[in-house]
Order: sequence, then structure tokens, then C-alpha cells
Amino acid sequence: MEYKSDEQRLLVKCRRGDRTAFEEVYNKYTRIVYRHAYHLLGSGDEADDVMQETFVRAYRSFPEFRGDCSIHTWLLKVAGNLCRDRIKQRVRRGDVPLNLDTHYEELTPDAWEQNPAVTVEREDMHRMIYRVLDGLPAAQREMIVLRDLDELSYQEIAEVIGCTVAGVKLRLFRARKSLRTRMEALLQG
Amino acid sequence: MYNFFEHKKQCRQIEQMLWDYTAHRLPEDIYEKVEAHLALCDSCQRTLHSTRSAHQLISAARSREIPEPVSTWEDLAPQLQRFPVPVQNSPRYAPLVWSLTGGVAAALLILLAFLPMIGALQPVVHPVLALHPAESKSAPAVINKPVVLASKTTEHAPATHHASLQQLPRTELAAACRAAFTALAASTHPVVLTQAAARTPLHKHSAPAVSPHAAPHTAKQPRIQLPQNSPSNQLQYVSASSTEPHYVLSMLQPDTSSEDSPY
Repeated sequence: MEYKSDEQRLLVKCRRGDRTAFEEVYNKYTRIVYRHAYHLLGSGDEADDVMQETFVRAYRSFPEFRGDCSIHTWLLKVAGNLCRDRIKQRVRRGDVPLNLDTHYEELTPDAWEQNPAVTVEREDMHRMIYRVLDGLPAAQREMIVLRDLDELSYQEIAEVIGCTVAGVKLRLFRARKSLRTRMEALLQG
Repeated sequence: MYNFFEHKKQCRQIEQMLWDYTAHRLPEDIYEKVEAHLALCDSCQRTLHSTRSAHQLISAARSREIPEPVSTWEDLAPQLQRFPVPVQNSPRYAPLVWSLTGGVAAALLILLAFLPMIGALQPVVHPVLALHPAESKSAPAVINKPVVLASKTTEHAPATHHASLQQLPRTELAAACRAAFTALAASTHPVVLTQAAARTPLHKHSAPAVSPHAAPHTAKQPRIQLPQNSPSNQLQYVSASSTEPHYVLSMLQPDTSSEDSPY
């Protein structure tokens, strides 16, 4: 059978339950899904769980996948839903996901801007990032992650989120504004 | 001249571009426009300052190496074994198929629920004529089928028997009616003559004529009931008692404008 693209070949085979084709999908997208979950959750272990769960769900749901979007964005959508569930669970349980006991009181905006790479150690940077992201509403965090960390196009984000490109731009603007405000608040102590 | 509102409007527009300005992703002409505005606006400069910090943070996060996932395909594959091989439906039409199936099932359920009621409302038309033997010569030959003028199947008769005299010539209609009425009169059950669905008020033509035939006041006390001004073209005999079998005679009058009624 002739396939228009490699994507279509994988899609057709996975819908039929071809495990070899699914393994191809896994190998192709596993890092992307893991990275997305990691940025949203800020934890390697949780990202790992979400990644596996995403592929289990994808395997089961492939026959219903209509191919309205690419496999890439579909997997990110599934992973995003799972991450959102986990974030909700955290909030319900009152969990603090990360060890954020760092010393940002010493960090001033000027120092940050002059030389961020030197000012903050690598691990501190990680904590800072997720401290800022963790303070954002889940939907805004997802927008920042999709655009600025996963580097998806507006169209791809629209497929993941399920809205228009114009809607994506508006949401992204709001999310970045919140990020900026949140960061200012953190830096000012 | 300085216009405060115009300036604020510009600030809002510039604010939306600051992220791309910081990332050097703006076209040259817009980039210059933003710079020109920033040179004059302290508020936007402050916003730029914080935008730059946020952008740097995000850039650092993006370039930062994240740990490798621990799980591999070998961990996932056994989990997939637990699930049967997915059966491919026709995903595009799946919702339609499900809704049709549901609709058919719902319709069947409704039909089953209302079947007894429908059975009671709809007269059962028997193709067999069971007229009185002496009178059956003229009537069956001219009456449109399926027709039952009257039935003698008393004990286990269906709830309603229906006789239709559609398109019957006037002269034969009278004979058919007489035959039917005689048959009904010979019935062992009391009957009631009722009227339903007549196009012309029945009393005009039929009431006086029908009565002698249709309501032989026998020992079984059949009753005749002819509702006035009922929009009907049917005569029906039904039993007086709801527990007993019904006898129904329906007559569809071919021409109700005529004065000389067959009755």
C-alpha cells in the first residue's frame, strides 16, 4: 500500500494495532513527550510516569484517533491532560512538587540581568524556572511550555489546545505577562 | 501635541511585541517603531526590563539539558500486552454508527412499550368475512377488502373488528349495511353503534335509517349511539362492555352530498 507520508504509514499501521509501528512512534516521540511533561511538572520521575501512561493511552486510543492533527500534537495533548490531572492532584493534596528552598532573596533584578548564567548556578536556575512556572495557572504554564520550551508553532499549539491561532496568541500574551509579573514578585522577595 | 490616550494605546500595542522584540523576531520596520517608542516611554522601558529577565529565564530553561527518561520501550511493551490488539473501527463514521444504533434501539423500546396501546387503538381487520349466512351473498362481493362487516367469532374475537365500505355503490351500500346490521343483530353480545371520523354529520343521512337495522333491541340490549355533528365517515359497533369482544362496522361514505342516503 502506498502512503503519502511516513506519518500516514505509522497512523494506518498503529490503528490496526501493529506493535512494530507503535514502537517506531514511541522511539520517535518519547523524548518530546518526556520533555513536555518534565517542563510542565518539573520532576523527572513524574514526567517518566506521564510519558509511559501517555503511550499506553495512545496505544489503546489509536483506533479512535481520527488524524485531525499530527501524531506529535496528539501525543502532547494526551500528555498535557495527564499532567493537568497530576497538577490538580497536587493542589488537592497540598503537595509542594519541588524543593524550592533556595536563596533568591539575594538575587536582585540587576544582578539577574547583568549576567544570569554566572549569577545563578545551574541547579538554582532549574529551581527558579519551576518556581516561576509553578506559580502560574496550569493553562498559562502549558502555553509557555508549548511555545517557548517545546518550540511549537502557533498552529501546532492551536491543535494541542483546541483553539484558533488568534486565541493562541492572546493566551500566550497573557501567560507571558503573568510570567513576568510572577518573576518580578519573586525577585523582589 | 501629546495625546495621553493615544500614547496608552501605543503602549498596549508595544507591550504585545516586547517578547518578540527581546527575541529579535520582529521585522525591521516594526523593530524600529518599537525602539522609537521605548526611547520616549519609561513605563514601556520598565516592562521591557522585566520581559527581558523572563525571556532570559525561559531561554536558559530551553537550552538547559534535562535528565533522560528512565523508562524504555522494554518497560512499556509488557504493559501493552495486557491490552488486546486494538480493533480498528471506522473512526470517522463511528459516532454516526453509534447514534443510529442507539436510535434504532430506542425506537424498538418505545414500540414495545406502546405496542399494547397501539393494538387497542387500531382495529384489527380480518380478511375473512363471517357474515350471517343468509345475508352474505350481496355484501362480500362489493365491499373493498380487507373487510369484515361483522364477526361471529365471539369468545376469542379480537378487541375490534373493522368493516370498510369504501367506494361502494349507493344501492349496494344499503344492502351491505343491512347485511352487516343483521349479522350484528344476531350477535350474542350487546352492541353499541358509535360514530367516528365522519366527514359529514351522520345524522343527516343515516341516523333514521340505521336505527331499525343496527339497533335491534333484542334481549341482549344492544344500544345505538349516534353522536351528532361528529366529523366522521365511519360507523362503528362496539360492545357495551369493555370486557367483551367488540364488533365494529365502519362505513366510509363515498358521496356525502347526496340527499338520498342509503340508510
